[in-house]
Amino acid sequence: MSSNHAERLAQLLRETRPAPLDLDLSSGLRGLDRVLGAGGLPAGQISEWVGGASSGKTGLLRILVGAARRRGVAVAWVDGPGALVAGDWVDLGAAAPLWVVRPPHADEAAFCAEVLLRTQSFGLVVLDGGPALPAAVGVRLQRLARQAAAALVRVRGPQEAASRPIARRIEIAPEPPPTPADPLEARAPLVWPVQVSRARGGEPEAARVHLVETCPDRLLAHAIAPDRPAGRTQAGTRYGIG
Amino acid sequence: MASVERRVGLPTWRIGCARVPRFALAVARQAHPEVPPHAPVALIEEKGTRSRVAAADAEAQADGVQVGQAAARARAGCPGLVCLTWDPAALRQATLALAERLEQAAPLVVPLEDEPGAFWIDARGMRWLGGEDGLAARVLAEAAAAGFPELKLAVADTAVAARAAVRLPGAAAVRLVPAGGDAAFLARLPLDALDMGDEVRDALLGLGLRTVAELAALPPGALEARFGPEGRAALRRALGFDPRRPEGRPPAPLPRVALPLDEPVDHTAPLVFGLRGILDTLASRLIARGLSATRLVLGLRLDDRSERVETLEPTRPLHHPRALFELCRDRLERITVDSPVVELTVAVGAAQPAVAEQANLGAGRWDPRALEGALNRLHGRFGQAVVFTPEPRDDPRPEAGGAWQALSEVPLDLQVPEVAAPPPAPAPIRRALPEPVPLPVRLDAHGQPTVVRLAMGGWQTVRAHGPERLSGGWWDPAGRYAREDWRLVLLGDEGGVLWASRAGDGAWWLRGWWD
Repeated sequence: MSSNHAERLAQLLRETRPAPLDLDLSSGLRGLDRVLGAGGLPAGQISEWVGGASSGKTGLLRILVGAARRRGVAVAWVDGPGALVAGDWVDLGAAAPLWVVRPPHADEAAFCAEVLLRTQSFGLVVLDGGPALPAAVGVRLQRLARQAAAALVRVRGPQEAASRPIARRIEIAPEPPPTPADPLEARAPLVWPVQVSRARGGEPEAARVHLVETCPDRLLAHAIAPDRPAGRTQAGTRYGIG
Repeated sequence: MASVERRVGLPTWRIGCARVPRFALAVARQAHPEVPPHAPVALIEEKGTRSRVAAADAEAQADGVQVGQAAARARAGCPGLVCLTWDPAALRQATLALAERLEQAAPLVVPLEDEPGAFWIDARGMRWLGGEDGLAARVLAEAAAAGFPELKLAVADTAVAARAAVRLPGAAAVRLVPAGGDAAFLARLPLDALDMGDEVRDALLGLGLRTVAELAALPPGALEARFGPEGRAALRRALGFDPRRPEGRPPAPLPRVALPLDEPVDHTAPLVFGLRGILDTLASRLIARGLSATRLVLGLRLDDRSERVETLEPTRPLHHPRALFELCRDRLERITVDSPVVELTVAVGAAQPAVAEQANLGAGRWDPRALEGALNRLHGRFGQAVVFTPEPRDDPRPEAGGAWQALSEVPLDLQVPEVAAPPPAPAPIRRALPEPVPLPVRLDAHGQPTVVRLAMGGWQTVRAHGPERLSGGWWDPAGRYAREDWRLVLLGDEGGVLWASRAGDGAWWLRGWWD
């Protein structure tokens, strides 16, 4: 190939090179994004997602998962405890796939995350459960996340040991849900304020995010309203199937 | 006498037999072009310390060299003799190469098992291809192009007649026995030309028989009584009956590779280093045959002469060495053995033709091949499906409103819509216990739970939200259900929301929690 052709080819490559991708993952919620970092969850790093068993951390992560999938970024979730409910993760509007890996033992979760990161096909990998990452494993996962330009999120409880190295630690703590005006109102949405704070990786930041659980609109509004014939309380006879 | 098909009115066969006289010598001369064309050549077969002449050309035989003669004696009798090595492997290879070449001229070419350089050819259906003359011309042309211009071809109704025609001394390059003329053709031949066992032939010659016609005239019962089934088969061939037909080559066994160890090893992890090498070999053999493995058999031969066998079934057919390695590596690392390992084998248990793969041109970071490797590696490590995608189900129960669908195939591309659907509202997500557990509950006057007892936290005050009444499956006696689902907000310091349900019998169950 002559030098002219080589220069022309190089010029064409420069002209056709796509613009750099915005790799950080934004949740679409301003408050949460502010806590996560400048552009959202940082790519190429490990972030820790710390919260109690029922703190709302999974709901918040699902926001990030949905946002990533809508951008065409494939997501992998290593479900160490095997506790996810499939119906909650069916997202018909998502563009990119969600792979959920459910190893037989939570101890294998880190291995699964490593295998997934090596494919360099996922933009977000969630490592949910499993023991604390040994330093060597943490360094290896950090390196793989950087090579794949993927955000690796390790989910753990507040009592579990922290991992190293960690670029960012996000702590989630629930606030008591407000008491509904009528405590017997069955269809009242369960509004659940969650305090999200950045404990590591830059200046401390905090925000409040409201999660809302709505009761499906199926039956009568009132919890004790007689929506069935009185006295029919035997097993299998309540709803006309006895 | 006509062939069996002709006698019962079936379409007749036409079988060709192609043969290269002195094929071994021709192959050896091709391998050694430096040998002068008219030099006497003999092929020497080494058996232990003895060297014998396995083949000799006409010049060597004219100088007194005989097949079976000791090599030293042959050299002494013929000072200018060029001795080349008898190489059965090279003969097999050359036979297969020539068969492939002849397949350009004929629809089916099958090498004879008992004679290198000889082939059966299916000569039927040549009417629109220039007839049998055209077939013969094409076969001879291909043979000449392959360096075997001396090839001879005969076509007859039966295999025995075709082979006899090409084995005749001084046979023409092409001999076409007319349809229905096999018996008459064979009758004129010497007994040596008939295809039969050496023992029977020697015995018949010893009895004074010289021609095929004399053999055909013998009483069948006497011949069978004397020589058994071989005698009967010889008589039937002399009469022009021969059921042999050209058949496709039997399928070659599926590839298998082995790694014998110099020193036994106590655990399997070190074998991973050798695994990659033998899987490269296995993959190249699969690719050469256009196959993909659908089942692999991992074998460990142990020092106590036992064998440990593991079967691996990839999620999709594989032939890439990296994918094969990912599948086998983790399974191998997890095998525990009672005795040191002396050999590792990997065999293809089942295979299918490899399919073409679509190039992945525009999917950004989505790498189907790497993902396939990851899928196989996880599958190989755990021996079960562990990668799932959520699929919707039409069921009002939260735990049944979706299902984990095991992922068996990696999409080749990502289809990203230009306009994405709006995101759902932020909501807490259920997490389920493996199985519901009984939940002690105290109810208020309205039947709503006020206090629950948790295994780890004792009695805790709750505020109940609900119920969501669920029922269905009434058409299925085994699948009917009726229950109430409740959200129980824990009012303690740590907070949280439980997912509980009340069954039709009033029992309370803890199903999980919101997170």
